[in-house]
Amino acid sequence: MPYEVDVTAEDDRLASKIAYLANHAQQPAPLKRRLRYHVKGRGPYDVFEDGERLESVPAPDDALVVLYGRCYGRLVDHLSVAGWVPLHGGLVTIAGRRLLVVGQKGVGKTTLMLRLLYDGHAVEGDEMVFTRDGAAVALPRPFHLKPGADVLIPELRERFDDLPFVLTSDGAHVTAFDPGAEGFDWRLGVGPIDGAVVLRANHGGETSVRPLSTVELVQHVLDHAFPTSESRPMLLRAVTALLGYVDGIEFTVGSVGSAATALATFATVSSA
Amino acid sequence: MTRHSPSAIDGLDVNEVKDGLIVYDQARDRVHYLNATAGIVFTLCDGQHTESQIANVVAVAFQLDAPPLTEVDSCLASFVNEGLLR
Repeated sequence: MPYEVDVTAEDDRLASKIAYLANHAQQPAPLKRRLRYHVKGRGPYDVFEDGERLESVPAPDDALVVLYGRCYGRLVDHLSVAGWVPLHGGLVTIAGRRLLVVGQKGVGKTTLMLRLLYDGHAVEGDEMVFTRDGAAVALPRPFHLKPGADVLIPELRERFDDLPFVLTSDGAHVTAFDPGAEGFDWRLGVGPIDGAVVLRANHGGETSVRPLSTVELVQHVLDHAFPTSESRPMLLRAVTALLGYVDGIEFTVGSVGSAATALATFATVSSA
Repeated sequence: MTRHSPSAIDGLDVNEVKDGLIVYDQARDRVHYLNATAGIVFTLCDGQHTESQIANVVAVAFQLDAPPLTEVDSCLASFVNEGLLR
């Protein structure tokens, strides 16, 4: 991830929007370029990139959309051009085993990754992982939390209302949790994985686990991969290169606490 | 169509994993997930092996008492149905 991005704004109301964007992940690639964004005005707003005006927008959230697109959109495009394929999932290392964690939207992946983070495990990302030639790297983006995350993760309660948030166009309230800014040692790595976990929801029920064949694992990941513009052969090659010789399990998630404990136990036993 | 020495069609993208094959048929835009047994059978669909030879290889691979002729025949039939064989 070669960019370092500085964002400033005249209007103090944009401070929380900028905080929503920021990530303090330590990244493995050397810095390639620094980008400077400045938002001028107090409504309407002029968004500048390295001194050049990009766009004029009416509201603070519109400025955030522009900045988000330029920062994260540029990053995703850069990775895509370099042959990295995006997968919907998170990355965590437990007991020395680096695990890809995938699952349908709403299964509780982000909440589980947050629980694992607070339990002391090295979580790299919760939403998007890029893969190429058998290596994986997480998208350096804060975790996006839904309302109620502080109920499921008690350690969040004191901080939750102070975290930056946005209201999306469909009215959803999304809170940004930056592990680096919250005092965690948030580091991204680039390299192979040791295993993969497919999550299934069973909220309020039992947590259980069953092994997956690699063929099943690949099928699950492809079923939940992001719609991509990459060719299907390219996607298949990338996914099989990443997953082709790792162990896979299917985790049915009851409570986030039991799931985190079970996953940590599984990873620890597997590495013994 | 004969399956005496079955042969896979051209243009398939075959990806090997630990316990099988992931085969992509670009012409039909279909992905086929082959488990270990189906993967061995498919790999031997090279026009050089008869069905009985394929069954013998499967028997050795899985330490079976007898070549699984019926199962191999069924597997090949499914490959034909999916358009994977000539």
